[in-house]
Amino acid sequence: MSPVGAEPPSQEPSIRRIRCLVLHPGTGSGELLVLDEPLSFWGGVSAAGEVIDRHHPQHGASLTGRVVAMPAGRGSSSSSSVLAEQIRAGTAPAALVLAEPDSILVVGAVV
Amino acid sequence: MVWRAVSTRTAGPIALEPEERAMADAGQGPAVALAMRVVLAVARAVGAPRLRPIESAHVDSCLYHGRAGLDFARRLVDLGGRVSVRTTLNVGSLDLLHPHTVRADPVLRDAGRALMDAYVALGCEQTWTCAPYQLSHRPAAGSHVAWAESNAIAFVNSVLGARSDRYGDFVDIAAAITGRVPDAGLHTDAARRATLLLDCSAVPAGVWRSEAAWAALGAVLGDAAGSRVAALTGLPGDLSDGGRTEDRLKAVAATAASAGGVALFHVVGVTPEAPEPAAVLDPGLPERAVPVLPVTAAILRAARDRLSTATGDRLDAVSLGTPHFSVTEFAALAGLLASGVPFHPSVDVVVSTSRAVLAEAERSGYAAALRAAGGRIVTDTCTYVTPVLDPACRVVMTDSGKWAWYAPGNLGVDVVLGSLADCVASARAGRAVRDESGWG
Repeated sequence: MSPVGAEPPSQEPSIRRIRCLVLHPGTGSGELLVLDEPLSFWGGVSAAGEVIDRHHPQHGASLTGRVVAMPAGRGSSSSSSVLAEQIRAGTAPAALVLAEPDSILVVGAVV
Repeated sequence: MVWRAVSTRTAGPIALEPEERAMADAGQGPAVALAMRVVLAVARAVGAPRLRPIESAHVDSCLYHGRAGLDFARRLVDLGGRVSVRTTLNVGSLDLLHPHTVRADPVLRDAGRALMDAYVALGCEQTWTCAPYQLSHRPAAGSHVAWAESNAIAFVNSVLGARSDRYGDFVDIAAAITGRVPDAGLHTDAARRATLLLDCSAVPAGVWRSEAAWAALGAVLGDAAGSRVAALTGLPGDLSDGGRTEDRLKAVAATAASAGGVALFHVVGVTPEAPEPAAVLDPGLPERAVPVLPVTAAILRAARDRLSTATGDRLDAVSLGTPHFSVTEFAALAGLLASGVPFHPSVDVVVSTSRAVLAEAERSGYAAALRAAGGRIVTDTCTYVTPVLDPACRVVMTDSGKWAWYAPGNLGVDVVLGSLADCVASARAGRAVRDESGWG
């Protein structure tokens, strides 16, 4: 998903809504993990869902089961395959929220 | 706090030509329909109003990452899938010409091979290279293509002036089968304009003699641009110089596409779409409204040092050819080896290249010169995507910014980034040495 604007606060105080453009439909829930920089899934995230990119500020964090928010995709075309394999293996994020659409990550979720 | 992502609404409809509608409705068989489903999912995500035909494709999906990729490829084969445009293949997990080079476990050996075989069965050419633009596959300027592999995307757009958006695995083969891509992103004129200028005119000319300076420039570009299009001014270069400028821009493209999401950059006075700054800037925008980042020798040196993770002078291996070594790079290496001094026996020197370039390097004697010095050659794959180096290897020197970016995470090694001459000198000395005199 990709944010397109903010909505007024909801009636329910515990819920905050961010309006997004849907890149690929679905639902997912988990602890929020905000990445400070773009991340390449290939070469940046292990099969077990851990950030292995030594240049990344969140190096060592686990993406598995989290709602991962990041500015944009980065790097490798193979990120589609890495995400698809994580989804198959159960180590993928629960959801991805991107500030800029990234078709390489979308395809990983579609396939 | 638990966050919940709930999606309810997608972007507007996509206008399809009758033939495209037939593809989506399985009128051209189930493989085409599956491929069209993937292309349309991407089209919706990027908000494309329609699809557009492509002339060729370059597929990255042939590198094994797990069952999901193999299941997808086999499904396309089982459904009778076949590419409809010329399609070249990126590196796989194995070196098919030198089977003992890759220390593959049985799973990787069988599944990695099965994946490569599946893409050949779909009608793709067995190029097995991340640098198809060197010999095998050079789309014309202005032609529309679907390329995957981040360095190749940036090169085909920037240096050849063909048009590809940033495609990843699965959509690459889906585009090759349908012959269609979403009409969006870098296929459109508007998205190819630069919104950022990097002024390199203050860098002393001598700095550009080091391959590491071009890799460092790529890192600066990737950091600064993210996924925006930048124009670089004040750089030397001539695309008709027999390959040297292409090698340098290959290094910029590969590193910028690793450190950022760069899929296109313009080098003013050098690359085809940028004879002058005005040609690549938004005509509606005054030139002074475009942010300018001055690049200095100190900035390049700092970027080079950020790409080097090793401390001390220990050296176990040297890795060259990421992206794949070109004929001109082989010629430069052979020149450095002409004195006949061999590599230190404790240093494993590996050059990754394509089988097409290797054939040239064999004819010209460059490959023999490398082997005589003690080096070895890997084709069809690369040293940081599959196990080639000894597992005991701890510190590796390279002239590649892309290798330096990914190898610490992929292989758990430390890296020293240097020039090609530094790599040769270090391989002979058995320890990492760098000539700092040219860095200003």
